[in-house]
Amino acid sequence: MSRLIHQPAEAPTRRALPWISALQFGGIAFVALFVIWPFARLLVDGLSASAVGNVIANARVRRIAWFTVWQAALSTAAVLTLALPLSAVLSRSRFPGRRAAMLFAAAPFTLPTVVVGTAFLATLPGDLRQGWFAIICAHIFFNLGMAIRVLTTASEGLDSSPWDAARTLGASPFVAWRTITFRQLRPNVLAVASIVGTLTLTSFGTVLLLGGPRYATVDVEIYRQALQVLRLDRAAALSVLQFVVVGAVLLWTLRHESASASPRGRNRRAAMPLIAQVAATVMLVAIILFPLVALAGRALRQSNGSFGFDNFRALGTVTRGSGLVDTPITSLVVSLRTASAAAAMAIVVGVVVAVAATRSRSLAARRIMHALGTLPLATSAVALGLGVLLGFSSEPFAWRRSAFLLPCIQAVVCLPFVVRTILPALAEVAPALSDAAETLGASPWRAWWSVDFAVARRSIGVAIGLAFTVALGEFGASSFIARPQTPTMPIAIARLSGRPGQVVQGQAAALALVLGVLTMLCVGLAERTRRPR
Amino acid sequence: MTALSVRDLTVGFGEQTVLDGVALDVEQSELVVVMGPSGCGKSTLLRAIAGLELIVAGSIVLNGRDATMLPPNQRNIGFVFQDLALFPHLNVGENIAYGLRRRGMRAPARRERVAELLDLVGLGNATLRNVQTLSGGEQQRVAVARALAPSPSLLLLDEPLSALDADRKLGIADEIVRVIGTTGTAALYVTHDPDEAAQVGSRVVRLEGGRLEKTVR
Repeated sequence: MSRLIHQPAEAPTRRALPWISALQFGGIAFVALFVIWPFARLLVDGLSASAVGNVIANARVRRIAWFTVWQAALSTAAVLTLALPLSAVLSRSRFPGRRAAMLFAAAPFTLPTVVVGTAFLATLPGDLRQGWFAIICAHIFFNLGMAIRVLTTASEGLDSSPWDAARTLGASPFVAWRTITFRQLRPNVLAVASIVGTLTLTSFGTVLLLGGPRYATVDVEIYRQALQVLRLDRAAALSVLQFVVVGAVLLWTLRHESASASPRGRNRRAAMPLIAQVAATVMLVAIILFPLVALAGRALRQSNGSFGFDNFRALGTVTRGSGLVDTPITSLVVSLRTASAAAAMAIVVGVVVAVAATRSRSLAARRIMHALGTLPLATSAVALGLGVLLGFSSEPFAWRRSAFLLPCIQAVVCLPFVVRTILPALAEVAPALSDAAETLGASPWRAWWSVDFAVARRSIGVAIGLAFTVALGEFGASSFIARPQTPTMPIAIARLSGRPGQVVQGQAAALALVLGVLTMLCVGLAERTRRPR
Repeated sequence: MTALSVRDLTVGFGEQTVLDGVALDVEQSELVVVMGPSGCGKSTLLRAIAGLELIVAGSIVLNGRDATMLPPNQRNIGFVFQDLALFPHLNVGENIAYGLRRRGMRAPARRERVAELLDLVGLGNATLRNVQTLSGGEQQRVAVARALAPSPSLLLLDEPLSALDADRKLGIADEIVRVIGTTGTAALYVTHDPDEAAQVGSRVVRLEGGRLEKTVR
């Protein structure tokens, strides 16, 4: 996550575009209204002495804070413990289909957290279905593929000479890995630890479904205080405290991450023995596949124990006690509509921010635009949702009941992903290309459109897929804003999962499977767009 | 006893044969230069002798012991890599002591040996320096000192001067020859530069198309 936030702005080698100030203004206005304003309201409400005092003095909150920290630490340690040896083997594997296996392994990272939660409700037996063990397992499932992908890619690009030198100097393979390769990989290990640590510290959807009555993270408690206990001041104070803790973790990792960089070079190491390659791949695929198969199994299991499509047919009916006033399938329509609007908005704002971050007049302006584009990553989606609840419930922005607020906030959540996809592509286009276009008679904007945009258009396709996927699965912020009668799919899944009854649970699993498949299809399409044809 | 005896050494990558039945002997305290154009298999020959490349056929005998199937850490060879491969997270002293630690040498003895090697390569007070702040020539000397520290039976040098300016090459080549001569270690030195080969080796052999063609000198 820290790498996502602190991408250095590119050097000021490009000439500024005319009228760029208008784009800067547009980008700043959007971020100021939908990110800075809600967060300012959160700070004002959350920093009152009584609210902070109440929160710190509360024994339940202290217990929740402690649980949040140790489950995040344990999840991060477990992910790294599995990812390091598996990536060590996979980085030296050469079998056909390896790339497909790696892509498949990273799929859970793109799944909405409520889908992961529902999958583990279907996977684990009896008492293990809810509690800390279920939460840790779900966090491993969610993050492992991503961690392996990052570490494997890093290992493959490592200069292997230091390893060779260590081996010729008498180090056994394990000692050479421990004393050399692990040290070379340290920045990447820290980056992974920082991503997993931040995501698990702010875990919401998974914990809401799997925590049961005993276990909650700070984000779940913020949600409970705001929407169930109706203590918005306490929720705001908790958000501020959480922001401080997560910010401290990010700063710490940033400091250590930037202290050393992995040496890149030619990797000449030979392939691992086939048995090790097969064992690592089978283990990885099993870890990823098992919960998905269990979810599919639960979605297809009918009330009489046989397998069929009853649960999918039931998505078109209103079930008493389901917590939904309309059919579950209506949430699919709501989600598709909202996510489409959110993705469109995120792309427009993302392109504006990316252009301003690459073609503004001064380096400072470029850096500011870049920072604004990634700003939403600095806070959790739940804190953003609460800030929106506080900031848009009264004048001058009494928009809480407006239909456009939900897509706007989902667009905010998508914005960093869009900027992070489009900006590097625009920055990579050689300045000489648009210079050449201008010397051939194109106006500066025509040159940008016909050269920069044209060269980077593939990344815009990827960003559209990514934004739609993120918006489709967005749960943390949406749960504060979505209207109760028209929930999005993740909200409908969470409501159904929290209700007893075979039919309702079957509907939850079926809806989660539909959302999971939809998400994977979108990611697959985005990945296809990324590849040059 | 011969320090290195290679017989019928064949190495291939997929369909491509890189070394084809190479035979080579290096006597005790002898410095042999392998010369040849880029891509002829010089580096692969050294890596195969070190155990860093899988061989298709042939045998490698080090000091009378069959080392063909031994892993690199059990061959007791020193290797100076083309890009030097100094460990960036360790300082000069720690780099040189790395191989000594692997052999279980105690800290006081290690310090003594590191100081001895640093004196030998003319970097007497660089023990605590960061390897990344050294000049190219200094890094070169650290790499040689690190390879020699565990007293290997054979030293392999893979184009060790390729990163240096032409006018500094010959001076450092002289120094490497002096250091190797002082320790009495047998060495196999790879280069594509005829001038460097002529200056360094008592015997120069030519590798071309994966085969040892002839002894030039």
